[in-house]
Amino acid sequence: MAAALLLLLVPPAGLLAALAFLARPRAARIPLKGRHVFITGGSSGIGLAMATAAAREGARVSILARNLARLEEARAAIQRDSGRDDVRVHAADVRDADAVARALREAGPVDVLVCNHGVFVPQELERQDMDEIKWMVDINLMGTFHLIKAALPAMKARTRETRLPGSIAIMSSQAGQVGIYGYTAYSASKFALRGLGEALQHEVVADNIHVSLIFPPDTETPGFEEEHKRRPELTNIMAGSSGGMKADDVANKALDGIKSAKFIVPCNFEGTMLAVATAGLSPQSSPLMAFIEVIGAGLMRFVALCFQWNWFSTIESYYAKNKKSQ
Amino acid sequence: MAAALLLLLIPPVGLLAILAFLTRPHAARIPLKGRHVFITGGSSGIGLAMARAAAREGARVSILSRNLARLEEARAAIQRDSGRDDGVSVGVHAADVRDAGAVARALEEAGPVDVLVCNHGVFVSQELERQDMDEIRWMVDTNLMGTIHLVKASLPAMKARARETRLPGSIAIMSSQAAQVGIYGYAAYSASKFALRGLGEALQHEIIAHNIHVSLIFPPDTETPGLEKELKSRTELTNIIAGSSGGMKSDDVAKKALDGIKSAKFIVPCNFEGELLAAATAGLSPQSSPFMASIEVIGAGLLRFAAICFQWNWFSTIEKYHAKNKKSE
Repeated sequence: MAAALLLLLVPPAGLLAALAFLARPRAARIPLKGRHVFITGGSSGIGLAMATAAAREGARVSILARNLARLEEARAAIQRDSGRDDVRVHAADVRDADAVARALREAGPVDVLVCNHGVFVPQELERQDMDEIKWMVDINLMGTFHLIKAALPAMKARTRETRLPGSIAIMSSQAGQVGIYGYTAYSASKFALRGLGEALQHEVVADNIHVSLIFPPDTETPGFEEEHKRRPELTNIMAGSSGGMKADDVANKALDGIKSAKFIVPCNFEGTMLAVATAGLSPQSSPLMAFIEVIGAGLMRFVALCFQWNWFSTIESYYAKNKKSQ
Repeated sequence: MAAALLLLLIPPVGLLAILAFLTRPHAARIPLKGRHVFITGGSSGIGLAMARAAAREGARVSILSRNLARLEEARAAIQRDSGRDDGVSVGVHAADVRDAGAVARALEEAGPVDVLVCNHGVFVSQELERQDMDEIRWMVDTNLMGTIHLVKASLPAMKARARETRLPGSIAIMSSQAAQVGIYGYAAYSASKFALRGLGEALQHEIIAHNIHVSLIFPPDTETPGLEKELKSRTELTNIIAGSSGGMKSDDVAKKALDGIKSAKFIVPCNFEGELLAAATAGLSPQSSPFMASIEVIGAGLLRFAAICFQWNWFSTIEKYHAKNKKSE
């Protein structure tokens, strides 16, 4: 009887052992204390929360945003909450490659780059102004390209000098894991960051830099309030099913994920299931997470199909109802 | 004994039955004969092969590209190869997809579209650190923004058309295996192609009620003029890693693409390796076929394991390559 039970344990134990050998890139720990953390979109919302948390852990923090006044308010808040006096601010629009390069030069070599900035306005593709679409793609995607290209050379030199691993963290979104009604432009920009992240990890692993993609759900921030006003009704019905989180909680999960050099960083339980469902071909450093992904993949795909069934049914009933009332 | 075997069949059959109920959007067939197929990047490579194949099936074909001379050569080739003596109608439109105004004009001239194939694309692989921002912007503008221009410009007429004819329409987007996984040297290209997938998933939600189906096509490296150019600039490491993916001929990719469009499949792989990749990266994307859905559910775990093996192989390759290069310095 005991023998039979032990035999049942062999396959999963064997799988875990195989994954411990296979999981790449190798796990790493990325310390924050005494290191330079550079956060874009750092004057409000999740960025400000991350800056505060990093400063409390002993990091030297730089924040970048467009508005100098808000940056200075943020600096005061971070210094107050962390007891530090070395927070630096940089006013720049991430769409401007030169301004970004200047800001990074002034800031000095970065250990942990957090591309957290982002804008989002949901609307049906047919109705959305091309200008607004371009705005989202330019800020969310091109802005991130500008930051990474400007920071990379100094980051590589830095990891060589300090012999400590660096990190490039990119704030994505659950909209970067699945596209739903009203999110064509935003999902396009956020899915793009994942393709970028997967390729970038290959290119920077030899320089001891780890890429982290963070996938928060709707988070209570000023940005979210703006977005909510514009949401199409159908988007509200469908996206409403995803729970919201507070900026501080997202910030903590994000920093934990960055410090553990996790490639995919979900922020709540629902996010973890989404991450498993959309693991695709992305790298996984943790044998345990890899194990969960392999074992849970089938069930997660089934759950995903249930979600799509629910979403398409919602769309059908919505249109049927609206046709009747015409 | 027979009873035991039958009992073993219940779970998979039960799964298939449940999936037959759950799978969305509902399956559809999209006829090409007598309908208007508009193909960008249609003067060469996969686009030209698709235009020829669609014309042979009786479609009225329009091709869009930047170079008018090449468009006219392509038109001649399509008419010649179509085997139709009713004088197959091929419209040509010279425009750069990055120019929203030009795209709108081309679609106005072409008239309402039944099947829009956003096949155009450019790709130059290089390490992100080394690649010129201008080149990155060029790829994103052409591959992503160009596709958005096309979809926005054609959607109103496509919706009206689907309503009039009571036949389903299709918006097909040529993606790439680089949209299913990002690898060394492909940061910008993968970014632009992953984006098309997010766009496609959301777009399908927005246009299903208008009887238009979205298809994302995922070919491997295909022998086209575009690929020849890209190979010249490939870094050694990208070559080693990407080299593991087999190449295909344009005509074969075109055939698979058109088959997928006609079956209104959301994800259209082009070879067996592509099918495995598609199942591994199914994520939360929709699936109309209960059979494919069953394969995705049953195979998901094994495929994730295979994916982790691929990454182990790629990261080991990168490690060895850098170790070797360090030695020789």
